[in-house]
Amino acid sequence: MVAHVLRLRLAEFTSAFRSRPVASTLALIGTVAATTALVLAVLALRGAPAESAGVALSILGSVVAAGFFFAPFASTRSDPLDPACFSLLPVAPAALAGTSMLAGIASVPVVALAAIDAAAAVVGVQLGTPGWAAGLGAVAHVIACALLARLGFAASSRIRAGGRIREGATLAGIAVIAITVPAVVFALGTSWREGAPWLATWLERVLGFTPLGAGPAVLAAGSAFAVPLILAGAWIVALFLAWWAVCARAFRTLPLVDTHREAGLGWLGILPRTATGAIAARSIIYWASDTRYLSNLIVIPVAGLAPVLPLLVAGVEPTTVALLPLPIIAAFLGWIAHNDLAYDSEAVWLHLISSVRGIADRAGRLVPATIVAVPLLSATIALTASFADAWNHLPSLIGVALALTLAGFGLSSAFSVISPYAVARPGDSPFRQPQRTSGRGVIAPGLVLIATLAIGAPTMLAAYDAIARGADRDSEALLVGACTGVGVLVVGLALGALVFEKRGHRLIDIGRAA
Amino acid sequence: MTDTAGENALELRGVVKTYRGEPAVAGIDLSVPAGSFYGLVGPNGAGKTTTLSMIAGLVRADRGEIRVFDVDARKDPRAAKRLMGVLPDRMRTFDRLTGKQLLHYIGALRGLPGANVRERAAELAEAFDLVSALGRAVSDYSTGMTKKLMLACAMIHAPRLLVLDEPFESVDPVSAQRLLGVLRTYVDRGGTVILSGHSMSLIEQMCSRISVLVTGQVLAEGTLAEVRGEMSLEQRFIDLSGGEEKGRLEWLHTSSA
Repeated sequence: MVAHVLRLRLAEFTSAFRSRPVASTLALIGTVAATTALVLAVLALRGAPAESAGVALSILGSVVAAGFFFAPFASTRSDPLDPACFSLLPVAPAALAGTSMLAGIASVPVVALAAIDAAAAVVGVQLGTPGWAAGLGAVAHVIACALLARLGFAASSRIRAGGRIREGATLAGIAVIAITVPAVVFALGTSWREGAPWLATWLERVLGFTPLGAGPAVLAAGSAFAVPLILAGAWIVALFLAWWAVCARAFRTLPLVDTHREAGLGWLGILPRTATGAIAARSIIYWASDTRYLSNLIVIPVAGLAPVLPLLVAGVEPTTVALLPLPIIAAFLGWIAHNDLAYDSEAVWLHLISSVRGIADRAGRLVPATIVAVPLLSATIALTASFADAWNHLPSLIGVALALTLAGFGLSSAFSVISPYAVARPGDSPFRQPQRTSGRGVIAPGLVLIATLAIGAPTMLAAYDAIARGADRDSEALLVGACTGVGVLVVGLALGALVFEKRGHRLIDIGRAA
Repeated sequence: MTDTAGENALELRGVVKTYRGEPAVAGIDLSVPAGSFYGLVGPNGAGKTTTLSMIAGLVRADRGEIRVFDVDARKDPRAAKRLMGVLPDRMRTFDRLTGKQLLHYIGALRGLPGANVRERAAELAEAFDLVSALGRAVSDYSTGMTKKLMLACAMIHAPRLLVLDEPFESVDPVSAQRLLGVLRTYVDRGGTVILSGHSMSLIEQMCSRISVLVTGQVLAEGTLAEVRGEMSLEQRFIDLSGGEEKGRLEWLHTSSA
């Protein structure tokens, strides 16, 4: 069976050249050129200091492995080795799992990866790893990547089933921004002259324990290769078992869907089909298409950067000014949802008549804000650390971001049901505010922002102490920030949910009063 | 649902709602037997929408008792809401979603499992002749299509009672017949419908019982024959609502000279 499936893969590969010879040849030449360049780049690591080379191998190897897992999320191609296709044939799931793993290795990306890993093994030998161990480490990385790609296809089947590539690509893009922006800022902003910075070494150690970085960790381990090698082997077994389980499940269950019925659902098809999931999906659709939400989003980075230039001109120390945008952006991110109900208040009756739990409404509506917050905060923290030269105080920065954003979410969650106020109607210009008869439209937003800053104050003080005065309060800032943030979020959600259920009927009038 | 015979699908006792001192509904009693097609008629501003909104749980009654299939709607609104499907008049919906998304959205809000929603959404779309429009945003729908879609949404969780406020308002005759057909099938299979409306001919055509509401009070209640007596329903209705007003605006006729 293995030989047969491999022959089919090869036939598939060559058929591409027959049907579209020019495009396929160009793609192949491009792939070969890119692979060659990467091989040379990896080999160039031989000239780098041993520690930096090891860190680079581990982190790059992990990023590549993550790429293999996430690529199917943003691809329109159907899985060429979908186990469901084999479910009518008389094969055992275990045999299929093994066969499809090997067939998965026989693909252009994995062959290219094998070449790059071979170069990495050469660097590994130079770092002091015995040749055979380095070889095994490289092989482990290649197999792990092939298995991760299989699992990626299985995990993303819900996304590809209904043609929801745009949504899948958005999710992948957010993950990439949240990870790569800080990574690039860090790599560019820190000096590698005196060996790898502590954060990179720490990251290498952590990744070495995951399936992503276990193989490269063997290469980078030098003479202490035994433990990483065992770990890499264990991860291969675990990944294979997971893939086996996927195959076995494909044999037991019907193919996921009737594609026709799934099509056109967008986010509603991706998120869980519960009330919370549906409300989250609908909020994302609204945030992405309604200028009223978009204008709120654009204001955030602008507000964060606004005080920077005047303060610099006034002669304030640049490293101090660099600390300012993070709390402003974090507070505004939490604040953004403080009137979310008013934007679609005329349709809230649908939630009321269907007796949605208050918590489902409150939590679901925070999802789009969270999706925006993760990459934005991640990038802001990295930039702040870089400009303020505060990479050593990362826990403080994370603590401040958590305290302000989560507390803001909690307060917004409560205030948007307690004190909603009329906003521009759907389709109107977001900057044309309706006339208001009471002061609610002024008091509620101000109150939420002030309360957010007040709740974040202890964290900000601790963080400032640590960063500006060198006090040893970094972990305190992180702890206080996380606790106050989560605490206020939980209380705010609970309060908002309660009010929504008790006084939900009053919400319908906000839109009409406008 | 044959066991519901004799039971009341909906019961209102002394329900009052006052807006800024002005009574919109001034203590009404209603009994809607299970399996009936019940019409609520009355002139503009008679309190029909307020009454139906209180039943649906969108407006809170000041006083009185509302029971849906023996569930106290004021004490246990969640249980009551599960039994009802609601179509209000002139309320916006989440119209940036497509028709299909909205059906699935409501299904999920009602807590239905995904497979159930898929199946029912497809069948409802078929029944209401909406299949070709499902991929379009609801904001692009005509009024009639929106009503059909909203009624489909109200029915997706298989409610035992449908509360419909002016379901035929600004709906063309073809769509109205389609709506009516679905509702009639629903009632024939044991469902109960309470609706409000102005069109006496439509009410006469389909309702088994009606109730005439004027300035927040029930002036007549019973089967169609009981209420209209010797007259046509339209005459009886005008009669109960205070009749045609004569003797005013006379100056209008003098100006033409």
